[in-house]
Parts: sequence; structure tokens; C-alpha cells
Amino acid sequence: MSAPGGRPVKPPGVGYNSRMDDIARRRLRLLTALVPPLLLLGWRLLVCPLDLLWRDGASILSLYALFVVATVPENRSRQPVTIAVMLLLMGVYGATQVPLALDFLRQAW
Amino acid sequence: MIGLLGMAAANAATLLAANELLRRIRTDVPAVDVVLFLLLRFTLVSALTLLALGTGMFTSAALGLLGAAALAALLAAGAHRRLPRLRLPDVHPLLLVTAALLALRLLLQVWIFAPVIPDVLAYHLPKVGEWVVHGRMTGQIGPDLRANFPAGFELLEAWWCVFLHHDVLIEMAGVEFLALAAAAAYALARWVDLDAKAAAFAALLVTLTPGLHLQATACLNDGAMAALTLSTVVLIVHRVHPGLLLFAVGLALGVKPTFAYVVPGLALLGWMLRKEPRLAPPSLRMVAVVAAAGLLVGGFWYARNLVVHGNPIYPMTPRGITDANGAVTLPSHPGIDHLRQNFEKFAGRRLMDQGAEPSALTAFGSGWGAAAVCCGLAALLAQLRENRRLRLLSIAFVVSMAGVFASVLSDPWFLRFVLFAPALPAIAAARMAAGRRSVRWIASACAGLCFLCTMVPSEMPVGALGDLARQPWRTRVSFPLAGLPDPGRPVAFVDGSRANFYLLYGPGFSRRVAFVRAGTADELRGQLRQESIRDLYSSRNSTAVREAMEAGWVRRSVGLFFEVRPDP
Repeated sequence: MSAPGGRPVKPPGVGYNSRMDDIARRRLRLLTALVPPLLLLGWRLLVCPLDLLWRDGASILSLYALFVVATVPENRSRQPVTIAVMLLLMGVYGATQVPLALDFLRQAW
Repeated sequence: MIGLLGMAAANAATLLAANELLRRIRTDVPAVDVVLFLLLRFTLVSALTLLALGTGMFTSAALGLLGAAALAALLAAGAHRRLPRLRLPDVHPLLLVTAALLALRLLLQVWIFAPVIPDVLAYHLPKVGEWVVHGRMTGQIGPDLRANFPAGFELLEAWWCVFLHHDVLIEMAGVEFLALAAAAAYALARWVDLDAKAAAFAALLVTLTPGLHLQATACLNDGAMAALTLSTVVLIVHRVHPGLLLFAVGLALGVKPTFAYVVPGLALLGWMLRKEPRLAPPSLRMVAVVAAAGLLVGGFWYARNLVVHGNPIYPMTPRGITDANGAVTLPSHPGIDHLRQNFEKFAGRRLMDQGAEPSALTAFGSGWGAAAVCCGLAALLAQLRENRRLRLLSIAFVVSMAGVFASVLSDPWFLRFVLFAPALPAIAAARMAAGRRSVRWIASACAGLCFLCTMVPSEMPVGALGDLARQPWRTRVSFPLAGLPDPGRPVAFVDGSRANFYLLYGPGFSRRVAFVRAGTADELRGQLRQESIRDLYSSRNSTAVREAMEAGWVRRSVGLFFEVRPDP
């Protein structure tokens, strides 16, 4: 069934119900998506000393994953945090790898 | 010079022939066709090498002549006119410059590096030494049990050695597979929804993945396995004919049986995409031929083990693969404990490479590099919700990784088996970088860090790079084996250390190694006389050598080398 111009016509009530379905589905998806990062973070908290947590890539990523799945799916709200996480990880990674790589290069020569 | 000409002719012939075959199985998706072209080239080289080894024609002259004849026939048939026109890809000039710089550095690494990793010297390369020295399969593949593993990768390494009768270009085999990994990453990125420029950046990030890159010039086959895994993923997501999937799977299983561990994830990916339409190839008959070729080339090693040892996956036993002390080094079946331990180690210190120098074997680290870990993982998480294809690939890759983690021990090097996985975060990083300038800067900085981490593998001994660069190429080795006889003098291997075994052959394959089985000194003397050998490589604990020393006709020279005293 379609209106002139090819636009589909919704039967009465369908829009309301599908919107409710959408909300329920989104909530369910959000809850399911929250489980893995929550589990990962819980596990990191158990095995990693608190003072080391900020230096641990998996912890940073699991916190970030929590943020990503907990926020609305619009990119705009995620962008600054995503970039901050990338910079933080780069700092953590670079702080250990750059001296190691340079030192090794010097030794290899 | 003749060797160089033969190498050029044979390589040109295989490339032209691969293109001719590709015309009959092409998908008309250019990125996928490049992957198929490279797979066809590897299959042709592998099949030719196997045939030449089987018929005793594995020599520079025979293969060079065959290559020249095949090239002439292909040129006469006009194959060169059907080659695709080469043109510079439409990417940022800086990316092209970086890619050229990377290619130049790879060639320099191939030229300067020499095999150094203990596993490579102990059991990967001795068979290459045997093949090149004798020009055929001798039945001997080295004293280490692990030399019985499938040797699809070693076929390509032997191909790059046979023409010059030297191992100076042996790392080219790994470089070819690195090119395959880049082509597969490009094709995957295009499938996800990246444009040509972003996909090229993704391919560059994948090429710079430290574990993958360092494997390419270290004569290890895990990088090749990762490239073949990514290629199979490309073929699955593009819904090619199942025959072409069999072709890729056969080839991959012939390179490394651990490919079987990633199959559950690949099968799941195929199942998730089952409703998408398939691409029809131009010739079903050629697909069948190609599939059979892939299965034959890959299956050869399993058939050989079945015939020789009565077990296609020898030295795997119901307990697993064991070392000299009986400890299991690779379990025979997957286990939840392994999965848990390996995942914990991966997500712990390994992922961030904390405390691990960049190494080809990814020792105590992951080898994923800054681009995949720092930029890629966050980018992947951020984009998972907006891109179904990224989600599907993530699910498949996680299942494949779980398959590997459940099947291998938590040793310091287990993450070398999942070097295909960082390709996904690298693609995600390139996708995000395409839309955001700030992410582009971060990804570029990470790529720079990866470039630094892919200069030299940490397996190189202290000062080795300078030593290698100063040595003339004809005699270049990573480290000299103390007491090694002069080139040309054959050596008898009696018993004892298998470490560094490949070094016995010499970089120019100038030394024949005889595998002597002798229980007594008399048996030893008889075999040495028969083979006209005066130098032994053995442990002092060997009964025959000990008796010979006591009898006074053998004396120790240096290290594990002994020499036969001249008859009075």
C-alpha cells in the first residue's frame, strides 16, 4: 500500500508500536553490549593493582568500551573521548616501546 | 649472471602464467583479483618446486631453462598483451612515498639479514639446505622432529635460493606474503566501506604491524599464515565460488597446520554471510583445477607424513607434540584452560608489548604495534555500532582467536599465531582517520612508531647488524659456527645438537651434510670412508664417536666438530 508518489502509508498504530519496539530493542542491545566490557573491567580490577590500572591498555580500553556502549550511538559525543583514549594509549605504549626499540637498535648496531 | 637471468625468466613466466590463470577465475572485483593473482603465483611456484624436487631437476640451470621456455611460449601466445595496465594508485603522495620507502627498506633487509632465529636454523631451513645442495628430495629433512611439519613456505624460500645457489634472497618469500597481507587488508577495507585512499592507508598500517613485518624477513611462516588467513577472509566476504575457498584453504594448510585453529571463525563468517549473493567465476572447470592444485600442493606434506610415519600430522601424537624431555609443547586438542590463560596473558601485559622488544616471534608481547593497539582498538570500538561489516568481521576474528587460544600453550610466543587479527583494528583506524583529521595525525604518528619498531628483530644478537653489513654477501651469516670446515668439505652429522643445523650447509650451500647412523666406531668408519668424509658434527656422548676417539682415529677440533685423523 502506498500514497501517491510512492511513499509507503503506515497502517494505524504501527508507527507507535514499532517505536516502542525500537526503544526496547535498543535497551536490550545496550544491556548486551555492556556485559563484555563490564566483565573485562571487573576482571582487570581483580587482577590489576589499582595504581597500575591507568597504565594498563586493557583497562583503558575496557573503560572506553563502557563509555562507547553506554552513550547514545551518535558519534559526536564519542569523538573527544575516542581521541583522548588514543592519545593516552599512545603515551603508555610509546613510553615503554620507544626507549626499548631505540636501545635495541643501538645494541644491534 | 646466468643464475640471475634464470631467476628473472622463471619469475616472469610464473607471473604471466598466474595472470593467464586469473583471467579464467577472476571475480571482476579488482582488489579480490589481486589477492587471487598472488595466491596463483604461490601455487605455481610451489608446484614447480615440488615437481623439480621430485624429478631431480631442482637446479638453477634446469629451472632457468624451463622458465625461459615457458616465458617464450607465453610471450608467443600474447600473454604480455593481456597484462593489466600499471598505473599509480589514486592515493595521497605522502602515502606513496612512505610505501616506496618501506619497499626499499624491505629490500635492504632482505639483502643484509641472514637467518638467525633458533627454530628457523634448527628445523625450518635444513630441508631447504638439503634440496638446494642435492637438487632433489633426498629423504633427509634435518634431525629435528619438527622438520616434518608441512613446508609450503619453505618451497618458496627454496625457490628464492636455487637460482643463485645462495640464501641471500631467502627472505623474499616472506616479503611476498607480506605483500599478500597488504593486498588482503586493502580488499577487506574496501569491503567494509573504505574508499581507495583510506583502504591504501589501512594496507600500509597492516604492513607496518611489527610482528607481521619482522616475520617477513626472519624466515618464519606465521606471517605467511596470517596473510593466508586474511586472504581466505577476503574470499569468504566476497562470496567467491567454494572451489576458490578450497584453493586458499589447501594452500594455507600446506604452509602451517595451525590454520585449522582459525577455521571456526572463518566458517562462522561464511555462515553469517550465507544470504548474500555469490560471485560467479568465468570458468568452473578452471576453478576445479585451481582448487585441486591448492589441495594437492598443501596436502602433499600430509600425504608424505602418512607414507613415511603412518600419521598425516606427524609429529603430533594423541598427547600432543612433545620435546626431548617429553613435555608437551603443542597440545593435541583444545582446552578451556588454555583459552582462559592465553586470553588473560593477551589482555594483560602482552597487548601493550610491555617489556617486550619488537621481535619476529612476538616474544612476551603481541607484535600488534601502536597503530593497531593505540589507535585501532579504540577506533574499532567506536565504529562497531555503526558498521555491520566491521561487527561481522570482529565476531569472526574473535572466534578465530579463541580457536587459536584454546589450542596452544601459554608460552612467550603464542601470539604469533594470531597475527591476522591486528588487521581489523588497523582497518578501523584508517576508516576513522579518513573522516577526522585529528585521528589521521594520531594514526600517522602510530605508523611512525611502527616503522621504528620494524627495523630489526630483537632476535638479532648484539652488534649483529653491523657485522652483517660489513660482511661480503657471499659469506654473510648471522653468526659463525665455531669450527665449521672450509666450504666444499662435506660434514657427517652423527648425533647431538640440532641447534643451528642449517648453518652447516653454509650461505652458498657449499657443504654436503651426510646423516650417519652408526652404533659403533667400526660402523662409523665404514660410512665415513664410503662417503669420503673427514669432518664430523656430533655430541661427545655419541657412542660411536666416543669409541673412535678412544681408538685414536678421531680427534675433537672445535665445539661440536671432530675430524678424522689421516691414516698413518
